[in-house]
Amino acid sequence: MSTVTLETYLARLYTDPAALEWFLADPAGATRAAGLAQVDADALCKIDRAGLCMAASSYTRKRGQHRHSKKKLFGISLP
Amino acid sequence: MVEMPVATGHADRVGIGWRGELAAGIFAYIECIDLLEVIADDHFRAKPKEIRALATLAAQTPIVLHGVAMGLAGSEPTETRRIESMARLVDALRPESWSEHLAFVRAGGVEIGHLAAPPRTVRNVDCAVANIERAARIVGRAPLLENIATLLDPPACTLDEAAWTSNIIDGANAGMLLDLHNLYANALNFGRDPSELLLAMPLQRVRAVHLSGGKWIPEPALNHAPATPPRMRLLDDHVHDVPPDVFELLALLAQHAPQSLDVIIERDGEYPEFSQLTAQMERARDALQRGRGAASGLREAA
Repeated sequence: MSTVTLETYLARLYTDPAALEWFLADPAGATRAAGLAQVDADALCKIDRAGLCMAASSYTRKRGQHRHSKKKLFGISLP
Repeated sequence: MVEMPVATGHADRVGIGWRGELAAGIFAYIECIDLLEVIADDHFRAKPKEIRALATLAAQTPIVLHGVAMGLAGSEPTETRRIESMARLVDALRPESWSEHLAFVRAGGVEIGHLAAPPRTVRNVDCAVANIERAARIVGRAPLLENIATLLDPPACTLDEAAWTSNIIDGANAGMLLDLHNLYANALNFGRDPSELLLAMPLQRVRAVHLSGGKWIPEPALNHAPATPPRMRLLDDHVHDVPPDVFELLALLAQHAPQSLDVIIERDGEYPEFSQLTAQMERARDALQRGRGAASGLREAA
């Protein structure tokens, strides 16, 4: 098991809608193409799909919020 | 030299996360606030004037720093520049402690943009411990480590959440920042009893606590399956009040963890009247007191 390869693939599923769509349509083919070890591919094929989609959607929303938020120390810009 | 976070002998304290939008309320109610938690990443590129303002704040009320993007529980080495940013801020502000999450936030050059739960494996524990030890060396103090909420039970796990958390925190000889709403959400979303999950955590390591709220959201209908009624999952969103069950978990924690605890109410939006937040701080104090009372009663009975 390569934890880095598996985490990288999860990160792609969370951030790349096309990769997520491919995975949901053909998990075996998508994980094989990603070069995952068989044990990781098997685990991914059994993944909680609803949770995966909810997580991806939540992260997309968070990234959008980060882009639009500029934190100010006291709610105002310091001069 | 790396300092291990230790209980300092003070009583339990209750405070709130510093947010610019809450500044006026915080100053108006400063006598009710024992400590403030500042999001470190918001100030990594701060100008000297902003650092002086934060130092002024720290001179009035104890502060702790909270990081959100190091990704210490990723299997890749944490980026040195991120740790060095924290080290500079810690040097400038001398907070009582600093904390980060047990999460990965990037891998293979892909930025997730938020906290994600990695596959919980022995190999991942080793990587996380190495990351935490390196961060502690560079910053000069070990971080407190926070459990995260996740909508997805990560795949390929060989350890459950409590065992994985304990192994990392014990391995890194660090303290824990126990987020009780994260724990509550994970327990409910994945069919566990929240109290049982709490008691399985390394409670002797807990130094600080986060309390926040969330909302129930429906699972998506996959493969055009009928979606009536959809199952719901609890999203930890920090824009709702702390639910009563989470205060009960705080009481249970106080009953089982004799060391002093720093409790922070987290609110990141849809800000209510500040009195609503001070009321939640009071409920936290009440829960702590009830838990301490229950522990004391049990000792006397024994």
